[in-house]
Amino acid sequence: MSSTPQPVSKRLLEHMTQLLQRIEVAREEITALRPGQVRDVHLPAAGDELDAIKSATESATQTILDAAERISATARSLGEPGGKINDQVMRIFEACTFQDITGQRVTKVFSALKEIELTVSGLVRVVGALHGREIEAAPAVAPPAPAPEGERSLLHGPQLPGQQSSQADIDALFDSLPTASNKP
Amino acid sequence: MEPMTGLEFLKMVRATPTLKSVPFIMVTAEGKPENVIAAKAAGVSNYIVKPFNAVTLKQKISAVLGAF
Repeated sequence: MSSTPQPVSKRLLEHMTQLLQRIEVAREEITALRPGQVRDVHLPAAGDELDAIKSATESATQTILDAAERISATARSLGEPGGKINDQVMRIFEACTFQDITGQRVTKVFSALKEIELTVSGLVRVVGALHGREIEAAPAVAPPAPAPEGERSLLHGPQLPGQQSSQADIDALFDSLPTASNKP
Repeated sequence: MEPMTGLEFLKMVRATPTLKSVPFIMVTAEGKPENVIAAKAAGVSNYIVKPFNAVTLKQKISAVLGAF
């Protein structure tokens, strides 16, 4: 058996060497991004901020609604002038529905952050394994949550402005659909 | 609306003999056609998408109670 590499094997060896070099460059670039810090510091901090936003808006909205209800109760005792006051109070109630939508959007962002965290953790482990050691200690990562099934697969949260269906669109679709047999 | 979704709650209500006739308006941020279709198939009386205003709410309630 000849000990001299065949041309095809030599080319293959060169390609594999180039591939390994590119992988090493990619590993160094990924390491420079400090994925461990992203995972362990920045992402949790972002999550904490989102929690704080949600909590603060809930609290402030409840305060506004409580005050608006008291104003409304007082306005009802004033007769006709109270009607004009209550019209404005209704505008406050309507505007406060923003808080519910904001909370849902924050939840969507938080879910996106969790996905990023999983991806970064995976990168840390894979790139570390290619190098033959862990770049940074990567704790065991839980497998991604299974895709929602049934009714939960229909949950998308509030749509972005410009992409959302109007009430008129919803009404047109709703009226075009057959009535369910179990509806009274 | 943890722990169950609005749609799950609607189905539960419609499956309960003493509640199945109760008018049910869904008020939700879920505005995709698939959501409306699923809700109507489950027996919702009407569907309001957030953000909404008081005029729309009153109209829907009047329509549902008028048909009740």
